[in-house]
Amino acid sequence: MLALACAAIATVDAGEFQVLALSGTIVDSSQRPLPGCLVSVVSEFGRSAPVFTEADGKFSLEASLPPDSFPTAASTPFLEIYWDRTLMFRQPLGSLPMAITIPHNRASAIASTWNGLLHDGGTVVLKPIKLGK
Amino acid sequence: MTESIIAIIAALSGMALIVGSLILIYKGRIALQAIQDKVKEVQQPDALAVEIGKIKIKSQYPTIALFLVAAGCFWLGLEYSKGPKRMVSGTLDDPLAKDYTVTYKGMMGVVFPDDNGHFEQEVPADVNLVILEIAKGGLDPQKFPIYPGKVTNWPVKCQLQQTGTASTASVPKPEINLSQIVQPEKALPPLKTQ
Repeated sequence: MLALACAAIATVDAGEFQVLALSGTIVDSSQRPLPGCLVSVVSEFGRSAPVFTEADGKFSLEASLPPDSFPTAASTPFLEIYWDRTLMFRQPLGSLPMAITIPHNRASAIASTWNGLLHDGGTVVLKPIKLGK
Repeated sequence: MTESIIAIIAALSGMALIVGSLILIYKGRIALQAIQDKVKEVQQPDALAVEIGKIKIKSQYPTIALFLVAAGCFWLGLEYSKGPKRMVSGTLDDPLAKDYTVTYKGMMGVVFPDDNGHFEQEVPADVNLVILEIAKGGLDPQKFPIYPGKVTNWPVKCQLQQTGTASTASVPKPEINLSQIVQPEKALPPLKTQ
């Protein structure tokens, strides 16, 4: 019963999660853009609303992440990419190379790193992700 | 608004029952053992006796009775806190409908049409516009805006541009590279809406 109460309180605390706006492009090994891929950010705490890649392979989504979801933590968020129902890609968000970052807290020394972005939130444009061999 | 009030009352009642029963146990007014161990009468009373139609629940354990009532209050609170829902269903008019994936834009999870192309998902009742995005690997996603308050015939029909012909992917599926798939230490939530 106490666990239920704690779960309810934890749900209320969801407002403290950081929002990360994430965008990028999915391509194949020939650098061709891949439309219709399903992209989402997932951690043990939940999954962002999945989005499809458009005709040019681009996607953009928003993920609410707990403030302590640093790349080294066991609860690290992953970026997942599905082709229909097949999982094609799952890598820790913090391992993906970034092209552009616009952190919320620009005063922080680590603002433009994954640690800073996952802690304070912001906008990230990823470098193109290549699927396949 | 009414749902929120019921949820708060139910949750507070559950919490009050838990705290109250802990205090009663601490003061010795109730015990964890069965009543029949203490009451030496011919007809032993029940701590809990509920009869709903053919379902009869009886217990001689007062703490269990309190626990069940508190659990009921919490369940009621959780149910009402979810708010009213509305089922938004559709039918995908395509020979290969079951190969497609449907997302309700901005909402959690995805749904997969069945063999007849039927799909459905609950959305909050106060949502005025739902944008369905339907796609499969290699094809551009197609969008279908739906105004649930104005729809009278459910499920809504979604006709894809490739209707009538076997849908073929415009871009071939890339080969799976297992080195790109990390196994997580902890279980992750599923992609599909539960």
